[in-house]
Amino acid sequence: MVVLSFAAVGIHGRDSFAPVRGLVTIGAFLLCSTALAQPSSTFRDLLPDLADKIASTLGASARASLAPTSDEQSARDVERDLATLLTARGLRIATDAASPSIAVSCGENLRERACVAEIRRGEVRDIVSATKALPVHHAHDGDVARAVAIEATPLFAQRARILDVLTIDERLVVLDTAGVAVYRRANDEWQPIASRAIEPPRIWPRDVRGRLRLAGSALEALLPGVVCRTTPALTNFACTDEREPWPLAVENAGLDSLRNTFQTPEGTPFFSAASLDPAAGARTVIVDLTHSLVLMDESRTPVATIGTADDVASVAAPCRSGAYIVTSAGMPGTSADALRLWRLESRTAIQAATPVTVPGRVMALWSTAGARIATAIVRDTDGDRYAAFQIRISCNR
Amino acid sequence: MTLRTRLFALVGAVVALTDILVTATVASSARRAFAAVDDQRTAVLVTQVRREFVSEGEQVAQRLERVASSDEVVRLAADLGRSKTNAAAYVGAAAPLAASQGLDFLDLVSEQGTIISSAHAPARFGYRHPWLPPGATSMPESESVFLQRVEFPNDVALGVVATRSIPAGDGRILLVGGRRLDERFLKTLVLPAGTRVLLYRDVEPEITHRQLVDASGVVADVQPFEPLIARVRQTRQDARAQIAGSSDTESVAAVPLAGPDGAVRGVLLVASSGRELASLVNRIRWSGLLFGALGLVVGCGLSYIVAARVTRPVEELADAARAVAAGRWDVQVHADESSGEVGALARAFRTMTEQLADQRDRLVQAERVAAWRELARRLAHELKNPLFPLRITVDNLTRAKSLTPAEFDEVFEESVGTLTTGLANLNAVIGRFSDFARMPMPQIADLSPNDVAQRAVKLFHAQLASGERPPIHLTMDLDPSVGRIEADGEQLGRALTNLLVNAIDAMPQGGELTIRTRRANGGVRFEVSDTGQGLTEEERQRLFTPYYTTKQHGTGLGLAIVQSVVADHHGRIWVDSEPGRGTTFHIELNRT
Amino acid sequence: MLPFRFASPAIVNAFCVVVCVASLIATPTAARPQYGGTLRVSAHASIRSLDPGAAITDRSEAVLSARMRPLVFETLVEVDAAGGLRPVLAESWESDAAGARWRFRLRPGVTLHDGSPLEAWKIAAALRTTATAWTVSTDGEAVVVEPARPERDLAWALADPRHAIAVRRSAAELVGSGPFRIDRLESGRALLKAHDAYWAGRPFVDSVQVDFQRSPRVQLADFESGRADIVELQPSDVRRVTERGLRVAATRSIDLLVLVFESNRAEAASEPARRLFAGALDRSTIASVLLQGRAEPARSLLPSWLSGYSPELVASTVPRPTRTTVMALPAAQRTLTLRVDPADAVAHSIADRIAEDAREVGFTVTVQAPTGLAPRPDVRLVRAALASTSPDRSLLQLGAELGSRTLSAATPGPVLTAGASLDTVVRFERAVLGGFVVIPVVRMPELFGVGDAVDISEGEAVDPTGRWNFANLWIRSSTRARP
Repeated sequence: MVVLSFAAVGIHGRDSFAPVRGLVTIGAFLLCSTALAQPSSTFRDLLPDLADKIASTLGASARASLAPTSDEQSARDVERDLATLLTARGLRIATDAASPSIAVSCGENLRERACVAEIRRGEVRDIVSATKALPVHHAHDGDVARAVAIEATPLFAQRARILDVLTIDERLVVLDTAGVAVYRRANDEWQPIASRAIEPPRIWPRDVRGRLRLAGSALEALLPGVVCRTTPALTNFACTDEREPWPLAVENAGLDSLRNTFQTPEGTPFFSAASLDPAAGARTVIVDLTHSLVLMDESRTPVATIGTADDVASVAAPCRSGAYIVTSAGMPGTSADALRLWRLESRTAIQAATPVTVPGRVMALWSTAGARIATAIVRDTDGDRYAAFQIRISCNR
Repeated sequence: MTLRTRLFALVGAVVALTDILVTATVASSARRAFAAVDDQRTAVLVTQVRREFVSEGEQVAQRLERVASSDEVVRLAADLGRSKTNAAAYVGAAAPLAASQGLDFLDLVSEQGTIISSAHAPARFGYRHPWLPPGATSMPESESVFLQRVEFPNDVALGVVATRSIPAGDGRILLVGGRRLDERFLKTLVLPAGTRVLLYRDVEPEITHRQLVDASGVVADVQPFEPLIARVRQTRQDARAQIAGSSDTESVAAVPLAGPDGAVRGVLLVASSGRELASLVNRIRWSGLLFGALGLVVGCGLSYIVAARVTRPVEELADAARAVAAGRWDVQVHADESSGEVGALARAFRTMTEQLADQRDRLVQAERVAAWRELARRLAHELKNPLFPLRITVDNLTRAKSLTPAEFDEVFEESVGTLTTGLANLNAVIGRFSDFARMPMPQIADLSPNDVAQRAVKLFHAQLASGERPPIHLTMDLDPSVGRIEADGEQLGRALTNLLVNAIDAMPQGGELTIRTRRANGGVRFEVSDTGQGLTEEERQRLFTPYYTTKQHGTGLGLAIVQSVVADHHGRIWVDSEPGRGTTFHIELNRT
Repeated sequence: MLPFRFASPAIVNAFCVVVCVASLIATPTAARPQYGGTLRVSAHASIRSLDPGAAITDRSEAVLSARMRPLVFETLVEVDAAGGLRPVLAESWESDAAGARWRFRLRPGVTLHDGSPLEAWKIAAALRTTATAWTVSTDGEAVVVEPARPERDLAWALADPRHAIAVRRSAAELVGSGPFRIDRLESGRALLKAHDAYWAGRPFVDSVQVDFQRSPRVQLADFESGRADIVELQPSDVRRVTERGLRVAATRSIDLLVLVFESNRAEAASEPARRLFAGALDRSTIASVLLQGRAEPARSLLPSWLSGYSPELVASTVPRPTRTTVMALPAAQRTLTLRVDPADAVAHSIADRIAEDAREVGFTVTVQAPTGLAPRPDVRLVRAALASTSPDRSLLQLGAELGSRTLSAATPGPVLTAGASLDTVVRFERAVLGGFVVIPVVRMPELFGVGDAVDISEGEAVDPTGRWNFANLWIRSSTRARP
């Protein structure tokens, strides 16, 4: 749930309200869907109707301001789309506090998807909404709930240690300790098309970790103390000794060149992190140095410990909403790891599917943008190979 | 007051006085001794209470130490120190830890002074610990035992607090726990009878009754203790006072209990009841009274016995003496069988009475002889006088035989007249003696003494009013309240008449004659007074001797008759006289 | 087994994927369900009747009854875990566009507990008892419902356990169609026996024994010692239970704890005091610490997943007041008596914390948990449940639980009825919360412990809506020998 308006989370989770009083302001709330990672397109169909009602309330040629308070991408998308629609209807989007303010909140309840706007003009507050009923699905007899399962799809394997893989269109980018390589799918197999070495060669920590990130048209390879920048075609490949925050669910300062852990701004070290749907009752989950799965709220305050794991990544179920995470941990008595799927509800973890045993140790487990899938890097100790898997949630057909 | 009474009074007084002195002395000694013992006992009790208090503190420290070394706390500290795990998981940790060690309160406090878990105020998690000094950013390191004011959800109490610091990773966790200091602690004290220990807990600004407790709970009336408590709070030193309650006065020793900053957090009051002493003194008094009474009874008995042994013979002797005085010379005294002085006295008395009786007999005989002689003399005298003229006359008659018949007739006629007068005188004298000898026993009747006196005086009214002699003024002073007596009115009247005659005869030159009646000694007294020439001592001694008279004429029987009458009435007669001033005769008769 | 799209046969051969059709809460080892045994359930409340038409005033009894009733008496439809409608006794349904006439086609082959078939007229008779505002008739093997006013959500309303189908055989005897039938209902215990002819298949367990009036402490002890299979858990018990390797089932956060000011303290003149009191609450600490993270702070009556909008839209954020501000209030307004149900230990601990938070800023608060007569309080901490799946009905039901007078006193403006638009719901909720007469505190799920002898074949023992899915529970044979 994303809110663009006055709500600001203060210290220790207590809400602090910074009102804009005495002014004719209208706060804009954007209600996002209950699934945190749902893109703004989920509510885009509601925005025109909402814009019509807002325009009808304010009148043509009126000025209004939108005051987002959330940094969520989806919330910004809604704000941007609504601003476009309101402009098209003759309203002028202002930034001054004297104008009426519009607060929009988009979300989904059990019956419908809705966007609600509060229009504040001084002490007068109007409410307009646009809703669309969710399709009422009548489950077949015998169905109790849509069952989910972990689906692990192998992507790639090699002898060299894989740190991360990234699929861009039909291509596969592979980051290992030596460098970055790009493959193309042909004849049911991956064929290399380019590779770049990380120069000069570095001495990596024993447990080296790496991450690929696509930022617009740029491709970044994040390693301990090193950032390599290139393009998806690996042009202009250059590596510099620097630390950048890694694309994790928690703010961090990147990976130290001699360490395998990250740190929150508060100094809490962690191995892995994943963002959570609001249904989980927390904002993020981290794996701390004791391998505890710790839920944290918006202020990065630990609020619950739900178990233990080596790594965690968030995934989304295509067939149902809710907060899902995948964790990796060892299987007692074996040298293999297992992937477990958990559904988080009100800070309680419920195992949502049968664990999946992987052929080796999970060396890395990364969420992808959008959180629909995760990437697992497994080391097969017997075969002395590294394999990359795409992890997603499969729903029953 | 009889000897017995005096003796009894003396013995009783001695016993009572002795008893009082002993009782007072014993009571006073007991009071002092008791006070000394009480002081000692209080001192011992104070020492014991202090020791118990210290022991309580040690127990609290031990319990807290067990909490600190328990698996739960060790694990908790490791978890919190290692991974900065959310302390929320341990918000309920303090309560079972406190319960397991019997602590009334227990706080787990972070190094920054934030309450992680509180057993007694579970809702205070996350807040600064109230004992964290203002402005401080961490709790003090000390591990100690002290008194402190502890806030519970429903009340404020005084607590014996211990602190314990345990390492938690790079930091530490502080355990602050303890037990209430209240009536429960007081109940553990073993106190001798008559003592109690109260505890004042300085947890509110003003002294209220809720802050003062004894072993049975809140003390209803705190007011008597307020001055002592205030003094101790101010001076921070021990103090003592006598405190009067509604039913008892107690000796109270107050001991301040200081907190870590030196301020008085509580006051222990060790009170010794004065009831025991009062009871003891009361018992002493009652014992004194009882023994005094017993002593009096014993003394009474003893004195009675002693008196009986002493006074009875003496009384017997006195009775005997009275009997002797009353003329019963044959009285027997049994006390002569006693030993000692009384026996000697009794024997002497017996000897005396025997001698007296003998002498009386002799005297009586002598008096009888003397009286016979006196009578004979008097008779001779009385008869001589009238017989002399008779003899002369007879002589004359004899001589007249030689006279002529005319001369003889004259002499015969004269002599006959003289013989007749002389025989008449002899007859009168013999008549008087006969009367005196023939006085009858009194005929007792109830009569008024005043009437008798008036009748007797009446006989002389004419004589006194005749004017033939120098005037005699008569005064009748009759007391109307004399009542009535039982007597022979005639004899009594005769006796008064005789006295009046004597009184008149004693004032040939006139004077004052007074007759009085008075109540006296349960009976009546007649007094006949004159202002004549009075009597000498010799005369007074012999006044009542028959035939004694100071008058030229008279038989001297008048006063003897009076005395006889008085004696027949068992009365008493005496005379007061002073030469030249007059004479008063007193007759005292009983009423019956 | 899904095909690998990678060339290395070693990886393919070594890869093992087990696709689970049903989600399990049990251990990763899948097992075939076993029939038999008695499922032992504990509850702190007690119920006197499972009759859907019985009026229940006691809240705990109402909650327990809503859990148990569906085991015996089924509705035409029910809400599934995802929030959608699932056919039960009605196989399908349709309505006109306005929702003025609804037709429910009945599932064939349903046998009642007495062995008789469930027929349309029996369902109609049962509905007429529980829904007097509707006109209910039959149309062959269908039931036609015509509400007094068009209701587009009528199907959702029929999912309410109060509209469960209970066929009345006599004045005192009701017959249902659920997976269990009532064998005994006593003051301390209920025994439900499996309905062999249940249309969805006989339950695995032979019987369900529900012990009433078991205190939370006793329930936890029974659970840990294995004397109970399903128990109610307090938030503070969850950590202990999970550390022992036992399982916890949680519903959605459907229990709301809310402060409600009494009418004598609800006037406009006291609004500044109420606002400051609301500002003094530390909801996140209550949720994260006191309730061990098993609750979430609630600033609105409806959670976002139920309302569809953010709490900021209806609730003002009040900053934590300073002592100076509070002390400037009249003394009478700074002094409050907070009443809480003495039988609700969790609410009591929350009330204590609220009192502590308020005292920190200068209020004088006394917590009152009376078991007998007591002076009238100034504010009550009330537990209310979200029993519906639509925001309008949920608010109406909340109003019924909190007291309609309270809500009407707090909302002089908009009137809320069933079927109201989301605009109206927003306005109503904002009006309710605007005067700070009603102050939400936290929302928490219902938590249940599931014994390690219990397994489930499909779904969860307790689904997110709180429904007991006991028909799919089975007991492992090693622990079968139990009384």
